[in-house]
Amino acid sequence: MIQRAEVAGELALRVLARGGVAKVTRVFPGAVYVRSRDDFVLLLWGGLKSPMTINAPGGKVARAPLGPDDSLVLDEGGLRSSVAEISVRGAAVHRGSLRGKRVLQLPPGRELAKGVGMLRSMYDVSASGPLLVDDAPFRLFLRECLIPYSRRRKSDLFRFRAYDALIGRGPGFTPAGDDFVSGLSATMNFVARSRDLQRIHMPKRLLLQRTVPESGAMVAYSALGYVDEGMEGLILASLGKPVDFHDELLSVASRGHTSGVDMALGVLLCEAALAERERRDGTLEMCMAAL
Amino acid sequence: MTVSKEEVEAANTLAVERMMDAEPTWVDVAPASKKMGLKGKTLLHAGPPMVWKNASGPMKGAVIGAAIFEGWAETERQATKLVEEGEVKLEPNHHHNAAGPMAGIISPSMAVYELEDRKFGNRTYSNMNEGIGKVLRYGAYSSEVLDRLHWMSDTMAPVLQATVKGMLKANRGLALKPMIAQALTMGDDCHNRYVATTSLFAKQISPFLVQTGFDSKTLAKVSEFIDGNNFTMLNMGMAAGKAMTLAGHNVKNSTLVTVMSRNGTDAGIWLSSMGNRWFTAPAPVPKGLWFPGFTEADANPDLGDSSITETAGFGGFAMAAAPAIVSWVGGSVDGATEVTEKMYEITQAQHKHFLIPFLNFKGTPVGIDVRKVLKTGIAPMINTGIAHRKAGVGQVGAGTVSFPMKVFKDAFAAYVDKFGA
Repeated sequence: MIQRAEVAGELALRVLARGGVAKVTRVFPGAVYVRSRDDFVLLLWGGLKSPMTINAPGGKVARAPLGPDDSLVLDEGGLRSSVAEISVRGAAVHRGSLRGKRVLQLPPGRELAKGVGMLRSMYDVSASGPLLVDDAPFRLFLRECLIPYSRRRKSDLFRFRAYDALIGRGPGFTPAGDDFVSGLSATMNFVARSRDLQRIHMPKRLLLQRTVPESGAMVAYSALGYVDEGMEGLILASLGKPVDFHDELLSVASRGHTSGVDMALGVLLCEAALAERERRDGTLEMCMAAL
Repeated sequence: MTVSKEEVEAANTLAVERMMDAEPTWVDVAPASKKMGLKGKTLLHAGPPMVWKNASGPMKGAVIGAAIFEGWAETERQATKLVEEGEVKLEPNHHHNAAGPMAGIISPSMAVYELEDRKFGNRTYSNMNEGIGKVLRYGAYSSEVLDRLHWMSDTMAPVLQATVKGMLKANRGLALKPMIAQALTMGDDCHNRYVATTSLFAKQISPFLVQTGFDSKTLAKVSEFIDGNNFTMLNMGMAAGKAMTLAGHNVKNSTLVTVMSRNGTDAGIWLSSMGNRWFTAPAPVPKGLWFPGFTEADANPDLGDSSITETAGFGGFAMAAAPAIVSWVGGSVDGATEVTEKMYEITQAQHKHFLIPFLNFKGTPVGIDVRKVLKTGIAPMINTGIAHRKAGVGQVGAGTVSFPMKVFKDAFAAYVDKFGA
């Protein structure tokens, strides 16, 4: 059985071109994770496009022709198992636009605080267990790293150890801490590329050991600017001109249990810290109050 | 200063409890000029406020028909001119505690049902149902349509008024909440299926109808009309829904939706804590089953105040109670159950009084929380009739439609602006 992908991400194509044998690590309705060395490719039937995904037609009801631990042979044409083939020949290439765009402006404090308030409300209706925002290590990270950075004080924000307590924190396939760090590092490094600022380095090897490997890889890709189109839309809209990002914010926030909310919070708090550092207008304080 | 999770929860609990505790009771039927104080050339319509030039075909037809019905104009051209020149004032039903199906037009001489909420004291209104086919609410205004409207106001309404007065005198007002609760256990959803409700209505009024003193020929004609129209109780059910949601309206900090409505061009909602401010987006076109000879291309965007039923926790939200409805709106019985199940994800509570036998007597989902709509990406599902996009053709099908997400996004953004979060 051959399934033809409609879209293939640029990172996914690079992994295929490297060739070799890969393994299916997770199977969800309409989604399959495939590991090749330290890289992951996400096969999606429908769903969001990203540089790491291969999107085939269908939706969550589509039956993935692959099971856990299936072995796959990779080459430039696609992925093959003993019973199925996903072909990328003729598929459109999704590059993602975060790496090719520039920051136009940091959002006004009021808009960021409103966005954080929206996310707080989303937390209120989505979780019954402990929330990232109420978690001690998260608060400590804000107090010890993000706030000092926003005030131009000494901060470990650019050291991997600052994220030790957050990576892998929280239940679920993508722990809340990973989602937050993804949003924060993608945003920080996007702004840094535009403005020649320091970047956050997220070593993939270490991440794969510290958290769910698929999630760890996602954090590493995010820091490099490879994010899905939902997150990309939020980052570009919030840093664009005019700033109008609440639609994108709510779309990202609707994902998963709290994954989308955690991710979006990383984006907004990073922008708030950068805005505070640049304008010193109380933006981060306003956002913290809205949490 | 931001509102806390606990404050929002308390507000939503209060709002939904009030919705469930409301006790709408039918107390009168009389011209809108008397009961609602409609003066001059004022017409009430379904949905959010509208601009005449953007009005849909069926809405325009219904407005023209109502102007002719009132004797303000003799022809379509004269009626249109009156509206264009601003001599006819158009206002949403919801601004007058009223709700009307499809175009939902209420004019001063039209008879309206008056309901009193015995718990909270609110009074709500709806016009009388004309049946299906070529009717004013779908934009038809032929002489047959207007003659029927005159008969309803001049003959049927006085008979029903005498009936309800008799019921009140005997201390047996017609309570809508128990009637809807019972009908939900008899296969109605109480939006697009009112077969059981109308039968219960006929049964309850009959001892009083026969004692009104009207001649037997008139009583027979009124009874025949009710018997021949399974949607007789739709309008009173909507007025009941309006009374319930009105009881939950204006609760500070609440994120619950208290109005969902469409005017054939736009769909709009109210939030409990945001007063009578409308949040609108273009109305979607429903999907469903088409009457012979019609297709989706004939359909007008969604229309009517009838989604007040879903807002109050019945109608589409109670589809699992009404398996037979799929023969009218399309889909499958499993699909109908799935709709109800999904609505629990976006609502505050399970209804205390409206129970679904098929779901082990679980209460219907009630109290749409705008935050949950946005978090889950699940929009409220409505059962609806489908009007032809041209005035005068009438109903071309029935189906289901999801409310546009934009209205919830905008309402929530405004809420956060007002309350912080």
